Amino acid sequence: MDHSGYNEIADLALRKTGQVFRANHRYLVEARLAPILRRENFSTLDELSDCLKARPNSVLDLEVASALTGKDTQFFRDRKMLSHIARFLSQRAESLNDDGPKLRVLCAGGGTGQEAYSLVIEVMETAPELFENDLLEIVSVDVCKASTLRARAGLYGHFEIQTGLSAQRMLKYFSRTDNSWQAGNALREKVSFSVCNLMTGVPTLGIFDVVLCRNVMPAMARPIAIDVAGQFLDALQPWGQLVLGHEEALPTGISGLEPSRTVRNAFSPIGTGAKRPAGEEFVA
Amino acid sequence: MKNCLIVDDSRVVRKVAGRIIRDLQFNVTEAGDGAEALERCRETMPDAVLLDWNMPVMNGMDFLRALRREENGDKPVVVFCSTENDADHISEAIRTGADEFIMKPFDASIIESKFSEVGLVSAI
Repeated sequence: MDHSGYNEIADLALRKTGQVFRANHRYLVEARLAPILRRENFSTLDELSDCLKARPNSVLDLEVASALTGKDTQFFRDRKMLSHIARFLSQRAESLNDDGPKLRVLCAGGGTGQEAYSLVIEVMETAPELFENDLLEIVSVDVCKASTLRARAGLYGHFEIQTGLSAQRMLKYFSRTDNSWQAGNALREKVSFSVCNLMTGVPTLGIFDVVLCRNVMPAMARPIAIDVAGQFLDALQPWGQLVLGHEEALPTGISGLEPSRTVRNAFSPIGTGAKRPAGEEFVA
Repeated sequence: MKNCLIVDDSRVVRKVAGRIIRDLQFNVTEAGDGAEALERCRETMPDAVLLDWNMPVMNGMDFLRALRREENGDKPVVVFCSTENDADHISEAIRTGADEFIMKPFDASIIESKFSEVGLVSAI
């Protein structure tokens, strides 16, 4: 079998989003690109690859690379972690100055928004004062434009809305549209969603108290994952928390982070408090 | 092992759901309508009931009201599983005493997710 088309696409993914696809990941690449192949009337990856080569740096390049990123997400994937974060934020809020910066949370690789909306629900139910007093800003970014648009619209299908959400929460926070369920304004107004490539865009996002980047870095080439983790470290407050996926390890080779004592699956800057001043000047 | 009673007039739905729920480590019994389900409950009160809405003889809502009046009828966790899936129907089911609601069609991950919402299986 000729692998050249597949190899070109794998190379594109590495360049654009840092993701690694090996020879035995062909099934995954084919599955994730199937909608684009159908839409563009390509019957094989080779045809897609030929088209990409003919028009380098076209919009399709980034669309293909975005489509190849993992989309597996659900509401309340890790309940304990979410409740730890809500409690952590609630405690941090006590040390905020009246006119100082808000608490900021970044969902990096936030996909279609389930993680950010789950955090909003958790905070509304366990630490509502954070929203009532306008103390918390939640930012969710993803490289995939289609996912970002859907997250912003808060639209979820039959299977998505029933995985991780109780019927009560579904009724309370979402309403039924024709074929899907839509997050109400109470949720949507509390998160800002934007397109951002983690390979280059993290420094533009500002400083955060919590960065959630769950199950994203393990799919990246190691040097790129180390670089991205380093950028998260730079974007964290001295007391900040970098939260990874369940049983996900830091990319080997990164230094400056140690396992957190307050949040499950999280890491915090080594030498808490000494790394640098609170960093108000970084906050947009 | 916990017991789950599956109440649905479709043999296919009972079979598919039964397979999924057995994999979650439940003993599974079946009933084809609400009246039969009530008989099963009088023999042995299950830990969980997966309950269809529209059925001949006795529908899911009537069964649920009757069940909650039975001795120990407050014990089973009742998960509705229905094609009636607009917000009004779901609220009505919850108000009447259902603990969770699954909109058909379902798959294994939905059943597992909803069972974990009500503590029938443990979450991560």
